[in-house]
Amino acid sequence: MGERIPARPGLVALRVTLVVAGYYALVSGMHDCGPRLHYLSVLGLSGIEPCVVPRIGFSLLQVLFALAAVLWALQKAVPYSAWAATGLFVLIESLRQETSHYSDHQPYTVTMVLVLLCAWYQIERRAIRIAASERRLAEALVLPRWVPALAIFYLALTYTLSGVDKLVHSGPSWADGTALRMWLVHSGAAERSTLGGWIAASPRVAFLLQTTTLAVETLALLATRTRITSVLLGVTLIGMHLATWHLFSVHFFGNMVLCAVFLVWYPLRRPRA
Amino acid sequence: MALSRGERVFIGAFVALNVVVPFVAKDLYPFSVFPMFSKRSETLSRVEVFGPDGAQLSSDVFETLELDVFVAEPKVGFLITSLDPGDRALAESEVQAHVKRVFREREIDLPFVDAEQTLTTIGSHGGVVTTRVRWRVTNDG
Repeated sequence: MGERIPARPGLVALRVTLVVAGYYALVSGMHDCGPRLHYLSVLGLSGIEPCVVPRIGFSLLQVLFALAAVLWALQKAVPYSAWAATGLFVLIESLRQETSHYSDHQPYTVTMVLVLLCAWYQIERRAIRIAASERRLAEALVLPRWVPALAIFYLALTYTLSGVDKLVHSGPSWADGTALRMWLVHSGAAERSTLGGWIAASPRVAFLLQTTTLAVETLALLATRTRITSVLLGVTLIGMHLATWHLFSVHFFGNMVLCAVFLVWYPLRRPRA
Repeated sequence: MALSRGERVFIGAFVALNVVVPFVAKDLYPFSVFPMFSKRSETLSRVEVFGPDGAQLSSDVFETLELDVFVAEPKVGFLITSLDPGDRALAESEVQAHVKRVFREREIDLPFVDAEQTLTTIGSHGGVVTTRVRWRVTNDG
């Protein structure tokens, strides 16, 4: 875990993660401020009212995030640009959650991967400063193995938690296909989509899909133990996200990209231990 | 090569927070058990409110959020109770009392609204069945 390897895969993962974070931070604004309905973020627990931030202030946070993210991607002013980009992203997404009418889970995993990558730059700051002063940062920066290992663990953990939560709430009967058929009809997907209509009318297919989903999610952590199972897990999860995007218009774009980078691309190219 | 103290502290804290906080709080950005669609119900419900012109009105304002699908039984976070019961049919008296309270508390200037509940269940023949019930609620304020 403590072993260092050349940083190129880490830099690729960093830049891809920053692009995804930029998509979440910059594309959507803060939601309308109505009566306070909930607190859905750690910021909300602090008691700070999200609507004290005016829209112009939110736009300013977005601009500052974009600047910090570009500096970080270009390896400038690190680790300060890393802290700034990560902190601003958490603040922007907290404000969006606090003014949304339900938890928007899509930026969660991107947030944690940014925190992890920021910790890499913080922990390696001395080496980074020396390398930067000698203008050879790109060659001198190293990637500790724990950084990608922890990213892979975290991504798999999120799916395992989701699978366990399904078992806690509904037990193994969650996978009997009933719920999927009902969601497809209830959401209108059975009418909108040929695939949705077919699954809704086919109890056996719905059973097979839900059983696969529950098994893949719950066992995700175990699947990261070898390259082959990690790649299979990544490809399966991306397929599941594409299916829920098509059927329910729930697009976990960030998760798909992070699964592609950390569960498929990195295990295929990492040097053997 | 052994991990440094800083690395050990960060890895320990990162793993502990991402395992413990989701179990305690369930869903609190940026920690979550990702509970969407975790509840297997025999009945699904959706409540929508429409104005006199037929346009759909805000589920935030009328407190008809479909909380159940996204975060079944949230442990923290929601300061409201949704009219949507999630998994059963509403009684007309519940709808009348809820919407009239919203009219009063939020000073809504509409002569009436129509509240509609859509219920999805498994029918006796094994197929999925959808039914809709609509109530008119007048604004007495």
